[in-house]
Amino acid sequence: MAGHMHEDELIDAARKGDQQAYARLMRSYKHMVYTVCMRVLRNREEAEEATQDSFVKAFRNLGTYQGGARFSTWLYSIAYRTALSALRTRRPGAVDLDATPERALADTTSPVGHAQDLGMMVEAALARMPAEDAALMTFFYLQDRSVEEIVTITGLSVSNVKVRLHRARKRMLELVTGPWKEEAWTLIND
Amino acid sequence: MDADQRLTDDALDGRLRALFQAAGPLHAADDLEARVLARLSAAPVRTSVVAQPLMSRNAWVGAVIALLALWSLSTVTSSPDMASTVLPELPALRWDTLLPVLTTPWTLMALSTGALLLLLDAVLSRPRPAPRTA
Repeated sequence: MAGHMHEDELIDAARKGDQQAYARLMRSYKHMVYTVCMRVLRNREEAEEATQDSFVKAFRNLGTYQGGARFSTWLYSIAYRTALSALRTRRPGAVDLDATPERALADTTSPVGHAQDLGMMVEAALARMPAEDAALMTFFYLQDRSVEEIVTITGLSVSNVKVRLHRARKRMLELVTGPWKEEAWTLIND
Repeated sequence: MDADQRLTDDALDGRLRALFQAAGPLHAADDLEARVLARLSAAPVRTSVVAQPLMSRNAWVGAVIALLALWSLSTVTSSPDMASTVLPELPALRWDTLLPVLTTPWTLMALSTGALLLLLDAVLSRPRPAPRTA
C-alpha cells in the first residue's frame, strides 16, 4: 500500500493511522533524527530512547504539521527539543564514556583512510563542543539547512544561530588537527 | 597563519560541509521502526483529526444577514406609514415591542450562552488530537 507513495502521501496516510506509511517515513529520517539526538545527548542508549520518543511524538502530533515547512524540519525540531529535554532531566553519571568520540579519537593515531575515520574525526571534534553548538553544526553542514530553517528547528534567534555557528566553526577548525587533517581535506576534495 | 584561516568563510563552509557529508549521519538501530510501532500499538494513541465547527463560515454569514434583515424589518414596520403602504401584508413587528422581549434576563442569558458556545466551538474547531484506539 505504502510502496510507491510520495512523502506527502505517506504523511497523509500516517495521519489517518496507517502505521506502515509511518514506518516508511521513519526509515527515511531515522538516521538523521538519531544523529541529532546523539549530538545533543552523546549517549547511545539515551539517544536511541530520544529518537523513539521523537517518532512517537511526531506520529501523535501529525495533525499539527501544516505543511508550511519541510516535514524534515518539523521532525528535526521535535527531535532537537526532545533530546534537549532529556539532557536537562538526565540522571547523574548517564554519559557512556566508552562510547564518546573523544575516547575514539584518543585511540586514533593513523591518518584518515575512509569515511568511517572521517566520521570519527567529526564526532571527536563535535564531542568537545557544547551540545547545542554540535547540533547546529549538524543541521548546517550535514543536513545543509539554512540559518532560517535552523531558527525554525531550534527556536533560537537568527543572530544567536549565526554567532553559535561562527563560534562552532572556529572551534571545529581548531579541533580538526593532527596527522589526518590534510588527508581529510584531500579525501573530501577527491 | 594557518591555511584554513586564510580561506574565505564560504570556502571554509564548503570544506566543512564536504567533511560532514563525507562522514555521513550516525546509524540508528535497524529495528527502530519496529520498536516505535510497538510503542504506538501498546497504548491507545492519539492521532489528530480535523473537527468541523458546528456552524460553517457561510452559516455565520447567513445568521448575520438574517439578524440584519430582522432588525431592518422591525425598523421598517415600526414606522406607521411604511407598515401601511410598503409592506401592508406583513404583521407589524414593532421595535418598541420587540426590544423589551429581547432584553429580558432569560433572553439575554440564552443569547449569551449560545454565543459563548459557538465561540468555544469555533476556537476548538482547529485540528486537535482526539482519542483513538490503535
